[in-house]
Amino acid sequence: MIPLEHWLYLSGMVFTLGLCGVLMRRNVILVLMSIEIMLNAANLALVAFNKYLPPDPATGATAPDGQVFVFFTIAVAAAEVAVALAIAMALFRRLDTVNVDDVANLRW
Amino acid sequence: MTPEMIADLKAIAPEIWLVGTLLVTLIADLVIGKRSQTTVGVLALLGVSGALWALMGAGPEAGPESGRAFGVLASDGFAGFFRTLIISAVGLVILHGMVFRELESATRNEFDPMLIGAALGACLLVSTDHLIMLVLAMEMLSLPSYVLAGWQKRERRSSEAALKYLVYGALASALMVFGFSVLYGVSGSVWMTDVGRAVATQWDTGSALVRSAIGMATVLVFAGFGFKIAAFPFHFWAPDVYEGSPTPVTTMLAVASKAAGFGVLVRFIDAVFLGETISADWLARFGWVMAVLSAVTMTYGNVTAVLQRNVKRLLAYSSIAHAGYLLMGVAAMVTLSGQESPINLGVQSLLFYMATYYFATIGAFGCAMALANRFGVETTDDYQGLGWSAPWTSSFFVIFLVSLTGLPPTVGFIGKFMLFKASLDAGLFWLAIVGALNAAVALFYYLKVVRALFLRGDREPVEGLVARGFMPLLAHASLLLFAVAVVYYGLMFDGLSAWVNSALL
Repeated sequence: MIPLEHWLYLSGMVFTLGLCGVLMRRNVILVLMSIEIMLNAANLALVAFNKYLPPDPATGATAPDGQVFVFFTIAVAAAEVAVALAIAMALFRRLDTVNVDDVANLRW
Repeated sequence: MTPEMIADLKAIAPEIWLVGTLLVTLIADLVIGKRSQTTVGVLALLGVSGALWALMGAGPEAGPESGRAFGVLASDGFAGFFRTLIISAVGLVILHGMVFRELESATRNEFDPMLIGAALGACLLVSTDHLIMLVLAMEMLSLPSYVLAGWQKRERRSSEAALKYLVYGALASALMVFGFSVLYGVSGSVWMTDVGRAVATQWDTGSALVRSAIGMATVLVFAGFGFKIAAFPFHFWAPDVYEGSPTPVTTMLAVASKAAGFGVLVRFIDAVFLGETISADWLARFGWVMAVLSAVTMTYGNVTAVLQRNVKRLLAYSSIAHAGYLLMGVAAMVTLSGQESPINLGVQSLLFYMATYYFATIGAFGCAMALANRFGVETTDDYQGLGWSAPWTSSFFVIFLVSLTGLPPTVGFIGKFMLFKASLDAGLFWLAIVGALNAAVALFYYLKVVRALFLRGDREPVEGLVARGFMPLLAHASLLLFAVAVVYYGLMFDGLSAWVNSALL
């Protein structure tokens, strides 16, 4: 079996990639995609931790809390994307751009 | 239906009211929304009053014996306190939204179900101590808020506010979920108390790697909470979003959303970081970090507020500053938690300050909105001399600003006094001094608004657009009520502090 550490390295790398994308990308859609990548890194870590959790000595089974968490995160992420795209659409109609640098009417 | 189940349902009666109202207003908008503008709003107000009534009717003794509903929702006085603030704040926002001129009539009625959905999320957020439920409730609060911020689709700044809020919010929740995944890995549980126990043992006995993982997870989780309460360094969205959103939504974000953020923050810290077995080393470090965050947040908010001309933006920076004051309560709570004492002065002062902030902030935004409705003004330059044209609204505005500054005889003075006393008791003298200096800075920019209203410009009365009818009257009456409450509780605060004492964790 692949040791837990490897999953966590992968999860950490994916998370870092997502964070870099959020900080460096200027296109709103790509920023939102990067945020989804960060959520998926969290999902990967949750499932990996759940898989390697020692079973409950009383019942001999492991509570699937981490995997349940992942289902909720996926659903929440989907809802977030629906709202995000609607807002990006509304903004595009108003400003004709999806570049975050152009969305700087409000400052100080 | 077993008796336990009925007790569970009774404990979430306010939330059931909110869900019902959400559905009713949604359908009512489809059926009669085109013909009658006010009916849907009145239905929403009635439903929210029903939720408040259910909340008042169900004391702590009415809840389930275990003190929790459906396993994941605590039905304690703490949750009751924050739910009361949130639901009543949203009720007032609905009322003010009904008389807000800048909302388009075509979409005005869909406003209410959105607000109620956000209130539902906020109520669940302050009740839960289960991490999955926490994430769900946080998103339930956030998603409607993003949409509400961009409600004025034709306004460029409103769309911009929605986008900024969305990007920062989604980033904060992604960071928070990753933090939770690490905490789950450390503890193997999604319950806050189990996580707290694991954190306490791992911090003392774990390897350097585990300790740094706990530290990182703490930072990530605080990104999520810090975003909701607009604390430094997660505040960047706040000024833009507060300015760009329709004013009723700004009120909701400044009061209901912030109250929910502090509710969950305090419950999380109490359960996870202040367990009985936690080491003194951790407490000292954590309390110090909270105190520094508090000092930086309030200083940043107050100093930047001085430069503002737009009143909504000024109140946004002031709201960041107040997040700093409330964090002062958190710092005192962490530092005092090691001591044997029946009441944690930190939590007590935080809750009391939250109540004073609630009264004064809803009032201040309500007055800013009333002036915008009547004269179409939003900056201190345009405010000049309006105090003589709208003496009532302007006098209320002055009362609320005095309370936000923290001067007697308003309730804000008592709130600041309790916070300073708590931090002195916790040995954080420097924090109390920073807080007092900040109050002086705050006085300067709050007085700027007062000066513009009453001391500048000519005193010729301007008529403006005076709205007639029952709803505008009711909105003004709510401002009067809050102004009276601010002064009344400033003189006789026993009732308020008794309520706060029944809500301690």
